[in-house]
Amino acid sequence: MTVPKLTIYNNIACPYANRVLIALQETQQEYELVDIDLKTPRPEYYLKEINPYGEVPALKTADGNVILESLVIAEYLADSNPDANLLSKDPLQRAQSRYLIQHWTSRAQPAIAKASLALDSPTEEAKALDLAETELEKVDALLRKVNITKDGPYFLGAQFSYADLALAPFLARGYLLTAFHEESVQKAWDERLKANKNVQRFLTWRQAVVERPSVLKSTPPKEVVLEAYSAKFLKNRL
Amino acid sequence: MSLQKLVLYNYKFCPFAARAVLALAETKQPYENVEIDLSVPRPDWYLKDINPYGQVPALKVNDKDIILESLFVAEYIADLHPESGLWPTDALQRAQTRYLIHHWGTHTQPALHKASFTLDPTDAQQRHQAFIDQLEKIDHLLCSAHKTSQPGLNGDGPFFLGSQFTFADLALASFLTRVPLVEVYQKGFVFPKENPKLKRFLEWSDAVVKRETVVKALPSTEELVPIYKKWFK
Repeated sequence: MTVPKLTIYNNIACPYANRVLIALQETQQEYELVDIDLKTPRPEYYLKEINPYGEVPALKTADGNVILESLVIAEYLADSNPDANLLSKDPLQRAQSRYLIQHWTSRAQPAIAKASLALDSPTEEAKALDLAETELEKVDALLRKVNITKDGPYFLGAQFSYADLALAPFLARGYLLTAFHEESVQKAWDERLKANKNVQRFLTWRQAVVERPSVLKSTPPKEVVLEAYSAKFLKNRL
Repeated sequence: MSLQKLVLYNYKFCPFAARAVLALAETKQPYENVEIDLSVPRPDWYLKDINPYGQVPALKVNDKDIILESLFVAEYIADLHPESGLWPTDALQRAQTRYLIHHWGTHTQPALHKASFTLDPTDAQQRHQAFIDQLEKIDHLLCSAHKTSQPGLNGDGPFFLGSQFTFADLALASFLTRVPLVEVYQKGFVFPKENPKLKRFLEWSDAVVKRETVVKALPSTEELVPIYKKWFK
């Protein structure tokens, strides 16, 4: 008889669902993956039994409990598998981890998204890139406050943890910022960040996070991301 | 854990800052309260040294670190005091706690806000109904709370998980004190107390707002009435 497992409702193109895959990799859970197509109406059973809002990710436990929201699911997996050390035992580090995620989501990510879609004029593009750079500098400052890579490249040092996990899918999609701009813009942006001393900690962190095996396994290839992103955000333009 | 020196930057009538105030009360954690008046521009020192976004609550720890965001401040305080029992140890109960709080913030609170503060009588009925629909969803989430075998966390009482007051109750207490405001501000709206799909919600809400620490630490519904009224025109 097979041991009942976790069921994960997933879509590889969804960065929020990627968080759950990373957590599963890190905690070495057994699980069953159910792919939910986000381009067509959700199947009845999904809306009725799993998520009335139709979104992914969702997790169903072996005894039938459903958990929604990517961060809630990731913490559930971390809580259920303390040996993976995904959540710091230090209350201050936990608060700082949560804050980094919140800050990225509410400030950095929107600025990056705006820059990725600032395609209509050179002035708009320049302004958007300036804003994105400023927001990355703020993230850099938050990172340096907690750990200046003395002990390791991740948010808390040598230990890959919750804050790294939660933001990994977005860091892994960093190329989206310039992917739809002219190639010269892409090159200039990379040079610009390399030359800016106020984003060096951010760059070290990002590189370490995106190269981690669990992250590589859990994030889709560039072509899949570009296709999904342009289908969702650029359909009026292309 | 050795005692941390805490300074809370607070505004008495902010429901988010109230989470921090309640966590401090529940854990009996000593702290210094600095009141920040949200009805006037923030002082320079607050924007420079504490929170560039000007919001409350903020928590200064040991004259060194600043924690922002009400839930992170409240959870930090609760983490300093595991003996308070504010956080269950069961992973599923913890997940349901986080989800209930998320759900309220994303779905319930906007409906509550719209129902309370929109004075235009057009579509008032729809707004009120939408608000009740959201409370019924909360009722359902309360009924679905996972029970463990631990006393207090096995559905043996009115709070989210049972007779024990936990973080989900704490995080939503200040918002529950604002639910009755809909009836106060909206002519012709009577809260459907007999609705069977709100039975669990009302039992829960009643227990939370009447809890001694909540009564002592938070402004009552009556105290809140004039605060918001001045914003209507």
